[in-house]
Amino acid sequence: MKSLLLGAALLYVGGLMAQDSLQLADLSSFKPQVGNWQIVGGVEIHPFKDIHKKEQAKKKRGWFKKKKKKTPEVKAVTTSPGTGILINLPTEGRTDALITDWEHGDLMLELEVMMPKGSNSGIYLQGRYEVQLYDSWGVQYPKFSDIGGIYRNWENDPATAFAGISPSANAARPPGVWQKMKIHFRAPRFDQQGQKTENARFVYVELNGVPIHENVEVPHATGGPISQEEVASGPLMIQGDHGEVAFRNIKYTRFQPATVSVSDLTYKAYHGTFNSIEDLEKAEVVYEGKSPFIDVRVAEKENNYGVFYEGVLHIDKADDYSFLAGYGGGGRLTLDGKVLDENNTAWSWGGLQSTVRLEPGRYPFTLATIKSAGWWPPVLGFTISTRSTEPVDFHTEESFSRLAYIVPRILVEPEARPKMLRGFVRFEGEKLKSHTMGVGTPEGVHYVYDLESGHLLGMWRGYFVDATPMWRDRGNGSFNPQGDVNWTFDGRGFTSSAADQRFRSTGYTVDSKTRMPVFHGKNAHLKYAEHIRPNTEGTGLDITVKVTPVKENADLTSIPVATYTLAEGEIKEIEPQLYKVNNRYYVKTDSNVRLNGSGDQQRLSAAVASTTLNYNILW
Amino acid sequence: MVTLDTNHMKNITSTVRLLFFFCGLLGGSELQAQQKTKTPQESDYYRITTLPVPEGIKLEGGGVAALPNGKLAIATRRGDVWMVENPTMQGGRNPRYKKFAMGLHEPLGLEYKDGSLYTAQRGELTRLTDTDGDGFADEYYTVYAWPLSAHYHEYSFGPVIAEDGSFWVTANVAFGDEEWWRGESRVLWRGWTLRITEDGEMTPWATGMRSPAGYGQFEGELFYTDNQGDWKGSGGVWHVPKGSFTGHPAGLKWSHLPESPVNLTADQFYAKIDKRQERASNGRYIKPENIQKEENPDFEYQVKEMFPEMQPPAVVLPHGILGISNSEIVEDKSSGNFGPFAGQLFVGDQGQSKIMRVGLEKVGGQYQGVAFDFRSGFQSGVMRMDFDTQGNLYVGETNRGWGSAGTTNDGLEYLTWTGRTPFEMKMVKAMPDGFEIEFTMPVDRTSAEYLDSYFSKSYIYKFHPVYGSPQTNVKELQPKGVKLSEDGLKLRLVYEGLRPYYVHEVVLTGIKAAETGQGLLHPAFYYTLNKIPEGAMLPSEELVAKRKPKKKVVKRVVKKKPTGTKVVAVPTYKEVEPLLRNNTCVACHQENKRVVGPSYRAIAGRNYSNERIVELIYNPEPKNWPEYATPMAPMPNVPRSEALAIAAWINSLDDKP
Repeated sequence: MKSLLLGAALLYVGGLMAQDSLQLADLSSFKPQVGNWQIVGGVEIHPFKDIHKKEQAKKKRGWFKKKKKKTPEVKAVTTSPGTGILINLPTEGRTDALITDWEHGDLMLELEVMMPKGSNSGIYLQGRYEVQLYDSWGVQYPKFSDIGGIYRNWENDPATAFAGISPSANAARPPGVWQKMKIHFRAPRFDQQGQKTENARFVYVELNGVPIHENVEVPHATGGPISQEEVASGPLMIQGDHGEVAFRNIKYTRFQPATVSVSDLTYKAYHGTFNSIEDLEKAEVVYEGKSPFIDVRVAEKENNYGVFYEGVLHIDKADDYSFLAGYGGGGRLTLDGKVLDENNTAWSWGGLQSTVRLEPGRYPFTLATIKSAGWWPPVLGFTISTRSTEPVDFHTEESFSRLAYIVPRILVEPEARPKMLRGFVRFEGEKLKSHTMGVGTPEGVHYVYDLESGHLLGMWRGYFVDATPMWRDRGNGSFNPQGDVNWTFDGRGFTSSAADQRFRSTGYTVDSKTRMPVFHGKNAHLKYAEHIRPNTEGTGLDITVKVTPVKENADLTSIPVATYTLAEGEIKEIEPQLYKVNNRYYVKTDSNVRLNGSGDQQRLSAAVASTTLNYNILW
Repeated sequence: MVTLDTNHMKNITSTVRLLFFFCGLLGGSELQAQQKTKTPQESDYYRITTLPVPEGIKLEGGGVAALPNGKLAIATRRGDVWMVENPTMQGGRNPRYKKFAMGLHEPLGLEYKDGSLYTAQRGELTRLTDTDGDGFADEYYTVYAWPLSAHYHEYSFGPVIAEDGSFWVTANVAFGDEEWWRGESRVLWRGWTLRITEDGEMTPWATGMRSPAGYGQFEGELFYTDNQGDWKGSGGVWHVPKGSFTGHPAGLKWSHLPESPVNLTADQFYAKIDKRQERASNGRYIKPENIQKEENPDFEYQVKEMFPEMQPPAVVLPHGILGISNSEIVEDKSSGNFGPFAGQLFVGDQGQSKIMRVGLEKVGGQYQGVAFDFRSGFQSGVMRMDFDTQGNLYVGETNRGWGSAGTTNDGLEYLTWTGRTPFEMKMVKAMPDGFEIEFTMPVDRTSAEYLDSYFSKSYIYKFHPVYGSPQTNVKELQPKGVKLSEDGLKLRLVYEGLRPYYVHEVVLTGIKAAETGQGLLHPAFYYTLNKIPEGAMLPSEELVAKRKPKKKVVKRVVKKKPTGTKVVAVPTYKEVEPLLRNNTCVACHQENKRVVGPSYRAIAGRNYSNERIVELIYNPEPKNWPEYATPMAPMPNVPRSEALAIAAWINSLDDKP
């Protein structure tokens, strides 16, 4: 466990990097187009309105003019003026692709995207390799043509055909909800004759925080590129001919080849218990020599050692250089005689970090570490990056191995029947909940219920849970949902107007038909049964809440009022009986509910006594 | 064609017969030869059978319950409850596994009552019922839920079903703030035993629990086992009457509440007992370590004099000898189907993967008694046990990251009496002047009457916030005399200098069975003498006190080397083996294999000096072995000369390939 933590923390430190933002005040970052691409300030997209049914609707409007006047048609897409959002509003003859006026090779791209029902677009890296954008809400087994898929090409010759790569999970959110995409792209490489030596690669792609591609190669341009010819540099292109699509918060980093190098590297190794790095000055050198890399193993000791490296750093381009030196015990990094960062102890661990502006030249540096902490492995790493270059390691794999922190995972998936699994769960990834149960369904719609508070705590789609933290070695009692979790709220499902009439969970029964749990609880007057199961479309959950008096002929007017909370947070009524919560999910109900509060302190609830309440949660 | 086939068959049949014939001959003669020479083994008397587990099922045994319908129910760490049909594999048929329930939160107990199964999950006591008769639980009823801080060490154990049908569950403490060595009760009732009724009424029952992984019932009373750690010098078996305090102070945080049956508060406790909460100059807390040659250490019985709620262990299971992480307690109610120990208790151990035997008696109104080794060699840590109606003892196994002598991580086995009676001490009772031992078969009088046949000592464990305690105030004892009954089945051992509350360890090395001349299968007993019974002592004229006639030994004259430097000769394994055994090193270490601790060879690889190894035996530094889950307890009781010999032997291993 300790080594796992160490790894996770250091890798995180390594992931910090600065980015450029694509300004969306106007369209000046893009090549001219016919006008289907526009800059707006706001966009609303309806979850259920299909853009392909527009014409049919028009026809209908022609036939039933009266009806049109009574209820104005809610459009699939509504915009409001302003800046910050890039939107494609194609009309007949105006379906241009959008192409940046800059080019890129290796690229890190992050953006948010929102699409209406039935829409289709794509992001072409270098104008050639398409990551598909599609309304794939509710799809259980995503294909290359679903959102996040790397699209195929249409070649028939096996030498040039590419079948596309499906995303490893469908992390799609519904129409009308912003989705986050992160793409780390590595451009193809060419030799001096222009022959391709390495294929283009997606180092990783994440959709809504869920990894969907890891280090996959694309050997040819995909369907509909700017050009079939693969090149080292090309513009970013967004498809514009298949429907509305909106973007915001587009950030990118264009990587350049790193030019930094190190020479004249020598080391001294010491044995003993050192309290501070200064102790090394007086200590006897056990080993010394030259080395092409930094390697903590020159100490030839697991613990109670000191290692001192010095060398010369070669800088060819002026830039801000970021240093990361992972260590076990303690360490000190100096450049040009100045301390960049230090942790002058022998029993800690972490990563020394510093970012400094460097002009071209040669800079002497030193890296020292001491360790008297038997519980940490020997570690010494030295990595340099800039905002536009990928990190370069000057240490050996063994000295600071990322593989050391990889363990076999224990994954849980429902099979023919739904899977129930109790375990601690981190609400919003933070607050540990102790009496929680995960419920996974063969339909791929999963949720966590909190038995302590008696309410649905979170729901997601795709893979069920990773129980490695609970079941590996001693474990910590918790599992992690494997998806883009919608956390609901940190509160209680059933509340009573009387303080001493708290509802208490009495567990759950398993429904004989759906094999899904029905949650039960009670107070002195009322008992409830909450049946939560996936809907038939795979887009969410159907929830039935039955509340009955404990005593059959109880006088309902005499008992304290009980309330059931459907949702808390920022809640927007889209149309009668349809609510959008926290800009993440929808609540749809035919039952009597009320909306109180304001801002992000709203509450959607219903009074319950002898009541059956039905609603859907859609995300 | 048909004829040919038949002939072919006949040929095969006769060949097979011939083979069997030879096997029979060889097997028979081998057996006869063994009977003459073989030293009795535990396996001659108690057979371990390993159940085949279908591939893909992880049986980290958190609960076993033999059901009235002949099936066996197993609760696993993965949260499943499996029903095993035909677990004894009658007819040579594979047992059948069917999943009865799923998704429980690391259940650590399983009991059957009135058609339902009951289990303690981390956060609640749950009743599992198959209401529609399809073999799957469809009701997971929360009998009672308790709060958790959601710390990993907050395991909950149970239930034990009391005679009135209510339940006891026990609750582990948490660890891990700045003083990570100090068990703490972060939320209500951690470190407590709770009593819960069927309709969900909970009454706190007792506190003082640290890691109460084991529990059981005897004469309608609740007993539990705890694990060595802070405030627990050694593992042991505690009697838990309502309102008692069994020593770990974490749970005292809640004893001021009106519903607490324990009157002692944390403030009262720490006013008398040193918490040893000190900060170093850098402001960080210092982990308390064992104080060597401590002048006036606290012992549990002294605390009892101050606080009557204090409940010292009824039976100490000396750490490292009788286990390192004690688990469930079961009573043998098989009336003889499980051998000669009906009515006694069996206590499992996870780390040493074995089962100990405990005999209780009441002296002065309080339970105390004796413990023996019983059966080792299980494939994994012994966690949960239950007897079926045939007298088979089922063992649910796991080592879940703590390591165990058994090398597999989990499994299911059962223990069966082979029908042979082992030569054992059946029971040891305290007497006003010593002990009375009852044997399973008559004892050879000559061997019993030599006082040289007995090695006796007594010791106690400290009560302090340090992880474990060495055996303290160790004193060797000499029996004054013995008296063997006419039938050779009962032996009185008379001592002077018995000490109340001390463990009295007696090894009957010279005792032989009258009929076979063989020694005891387990020659040692460990009696926790909380109270010395009152009553008449044996008159000295009834005592026999003989000395074994000494063999004439030719004394070797050893010339001492004139040099001043000490050179420790490297002992052979044969020489060092008794030292490793007597000092309980073997409980956790083996020559070439990682067990609970590192192998001796791995220690040799660290290139410590002999002196450094001795120092580490007395003051272990668990941080040197971060990948081992169980820290070594200080062993200052190992004589320095023996420790040096052990160290020299360990270091000699490094030179061998």
